[in-house]
Amino acid sequence: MANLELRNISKSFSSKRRNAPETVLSHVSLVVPDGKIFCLLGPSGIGKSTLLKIVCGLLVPEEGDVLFDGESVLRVPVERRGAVLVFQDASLFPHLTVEENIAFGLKMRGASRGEQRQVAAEMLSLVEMEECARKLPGEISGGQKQRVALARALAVRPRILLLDEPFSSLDARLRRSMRAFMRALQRKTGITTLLVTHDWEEALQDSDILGLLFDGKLLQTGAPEDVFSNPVSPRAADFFGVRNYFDVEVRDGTLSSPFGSAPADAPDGRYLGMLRPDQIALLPDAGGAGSVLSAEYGGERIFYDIVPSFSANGCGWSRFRVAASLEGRLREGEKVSMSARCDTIRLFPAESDRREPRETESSYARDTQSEVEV
Amino acid sequence: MKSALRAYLLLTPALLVLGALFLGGFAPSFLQSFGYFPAVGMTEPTLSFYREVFGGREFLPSLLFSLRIAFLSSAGAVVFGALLALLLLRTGRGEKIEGALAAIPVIVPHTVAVLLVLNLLARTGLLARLLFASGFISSPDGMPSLVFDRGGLGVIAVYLWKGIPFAAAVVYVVLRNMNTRLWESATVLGASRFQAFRYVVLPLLLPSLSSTFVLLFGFSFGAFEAPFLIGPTFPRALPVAAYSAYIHPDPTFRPYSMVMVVVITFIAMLLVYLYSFFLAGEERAS
Amino acid sequence: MKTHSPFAPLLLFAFLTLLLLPVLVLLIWSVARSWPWPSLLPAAYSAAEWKSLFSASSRLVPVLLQSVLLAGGVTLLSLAASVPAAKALGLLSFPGKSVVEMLVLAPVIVPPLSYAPGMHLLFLRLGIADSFAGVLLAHLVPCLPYGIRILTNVFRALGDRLEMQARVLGASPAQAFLHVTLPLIAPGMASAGGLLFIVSLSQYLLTFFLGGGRIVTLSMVLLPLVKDGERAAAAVWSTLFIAVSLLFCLLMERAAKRCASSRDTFFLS
Repeated sequence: MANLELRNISKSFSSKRRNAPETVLSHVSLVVPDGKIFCLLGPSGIGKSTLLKIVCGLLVPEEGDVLFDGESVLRVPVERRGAVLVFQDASLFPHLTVEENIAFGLKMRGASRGEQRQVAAEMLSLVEMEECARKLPGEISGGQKQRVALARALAVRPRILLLDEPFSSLDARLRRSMRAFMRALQRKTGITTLLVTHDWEEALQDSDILGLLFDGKLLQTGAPEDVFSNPVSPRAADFFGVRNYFDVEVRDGTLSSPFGSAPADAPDGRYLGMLRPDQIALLPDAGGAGSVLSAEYGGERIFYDIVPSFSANGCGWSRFRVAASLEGRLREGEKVSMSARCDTIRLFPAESDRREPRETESSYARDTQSEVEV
Repeated sequence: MKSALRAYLLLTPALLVLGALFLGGFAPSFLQSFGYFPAVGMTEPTLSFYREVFGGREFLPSLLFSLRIAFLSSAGAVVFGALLALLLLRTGRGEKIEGALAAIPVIVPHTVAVLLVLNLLARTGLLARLLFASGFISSPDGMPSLVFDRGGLGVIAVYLWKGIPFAAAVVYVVLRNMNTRLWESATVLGASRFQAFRYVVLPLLLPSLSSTFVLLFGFSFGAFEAPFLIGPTFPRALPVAAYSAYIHPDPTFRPYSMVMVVVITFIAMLLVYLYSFFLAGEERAS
Repeated sequence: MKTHSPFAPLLLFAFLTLLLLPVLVLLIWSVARSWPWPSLLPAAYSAAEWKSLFSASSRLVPVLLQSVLLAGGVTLLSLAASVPAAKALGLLSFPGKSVVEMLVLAPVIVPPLSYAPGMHLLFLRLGIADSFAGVLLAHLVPCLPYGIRILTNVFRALGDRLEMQARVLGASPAQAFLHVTLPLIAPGMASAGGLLFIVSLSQYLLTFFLGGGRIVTLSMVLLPLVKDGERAAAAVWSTLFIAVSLLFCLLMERAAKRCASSRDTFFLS
């Protein structure tokens, strides 16, 4: 078990298609305290996997350092570093049985047959796969493969556990149970874990610390609740789903927005205000400022797309996305009034980039790449 | 770059052999073609050998002969090989016995293949005997000359016999790995079987067909045994002419042979380039 | 695309007959004492040629031995050089890759005639001309491209993910290769081996130019027999040639199947 620190990691790859090398990671620094799970959230791409490969030593960064317990491990070769990476597809050795897969790391270290067998048995019971010991990877299911992969990684008692979107290839239900399984395992073994994913809900649920990686840069890190409620920029906010942006003006300590006014501790000027879909309330109102464009049934909630009539006032946004309860279901075309607690409006500099990251996925509704941009 | 070093380290044994023996083996021939053969006292580079060979009465016919038989046999192999592959696929027996049987010509060397063709197509060969038995001819003389003939039919037959199974194997693999949904989509959109083949399957086969054609063409162009054993005495295939010139007792004659070797090598290298071009196309298609 | 029409199987049968009938005729020739025009089958049979082949005075043993040792040695050396080369070409990218690829491809099309005479000169200087070692080295040139080509595809299909996985679990590069990569490319190696053996066995000009008559392989015996029209003797040696090739291929296929299904035996159980 160890404390993991990344300092100023930068990495670029030369691309065959373009002449200029592609920067994949840019001055990324983060700390994973001993025994904690750090979730790195970001759109699908190579940055996250590259970072993991740098930590375990499969890749060398151009700049920066990797430290375990305060000591740089950059010069330590892969096989001696003690950071084990579990790939998305489990990557079990097809020619070895489950048992042999799990014992592989020990065998490489020269452990005796007896020790190999013993540790393998231990791990098999830890991941509840005892009956499959003699089976080949081709004979077990995807979820079972992942469990074996975890067991195989834990068998070598690594200092750091690295998980590369470990459950994204599993179906939704299996994914949920595997994640719970992994969390329980991590609590039990107390192993320092760095996990990368593109699913923001999983990141919120599974992490002790959450980090947002976009375009090779770490936008924000912190406790999940902090990052979710207080995103540092619109881009950071957009990681968690569709957000609503509108013009806000602050004068003399008061902000004024289409939703009303509130005291604001910010210098005078124009800002970009943000509210989440769950922060706006709708009421049917014949004289209201918006009308329902469409309604998406999301099971436990309904997502409405509202066209505001106050866009003519320079709001600049053509639609608002509002999450509401199933009671009092609104119909398409119905006029509504929108209200919100203006002291919960998050302020960003006016020129902030409002474009959403290329992929934001949610298991509830399809908050996909909707162009909520005028 | 560290990965480049690692790559070349891995390639060292292979590159050593290919560099030293292949390139190093061609170099003396190249020099000798210009008359540079110090071992027999020829140290003045000259183009005279080239002029003599190109101007001679044998060179052009030999070159054209080699090109012709290579072209005809390769084209035939690709067409009939594709047909064989289609048949194997359609009868669903490609994997087992039929596939194994069709692969036998791969094991048989050219020399033996010549013997097979002789047994079959010679004036007193099996084909002639069958024709006699069915009354088409009345004596061996009635049999047209199919081997040792100026058209090189015997040689073409040998190359076809070896080439068809090879082409069939290549095409079979491509067809089998082809997404059947492409075919199904075409037919659902109204394409007849022939149209589906012509507009969907054939374009996808084209890279493999082209690369196989080039490969067979290149190989048969430079091959020695078949034209040596079953080819005409005039025109001789270029490799055979080169060989004859080589074994000439007077070593100062060597450059004549080397000129022909250089021509063969030059054309072959062009084909290698073409082949790698088509191979890249194949990879892109898959 | 399967069809139930009777046309296709019939055509297939015709095709296969055309391809395989000559081989059958060859086999018959090997036991024919006299097969005059215009009979469709031999008039008289005789095992004389075969007896002569297996007699004490025949060249069978030395020729067979040299051929198998030569082809076998070429196969092993080719595989040894092909595996690392294929790994580089299949998994790595590096400057000059396309040039290397073309160089590796070249001997498939460029005939031995292009490099054999020059190689002979080279070997004279090195003192290995007209020797077994020299011919062995020479055969590597036409064989390597096939070995590299097949194994490159194997490596490409395998990917480097499993090797990386082994490394993070604590395997050194050598261990990763021995315990993970090698078992997984073994079937491909066995298939390539079969082809390499045949390519080496079939070489004539190379052995001719570099063996100086001292190295006598099956091909060296065969060609003059065919040239001189010794029908029966040629048939016998041809049958032998095919038999040896087939045997080796079957052995390789058996080995490939065994590699694919067995597990690492020096493991837990």
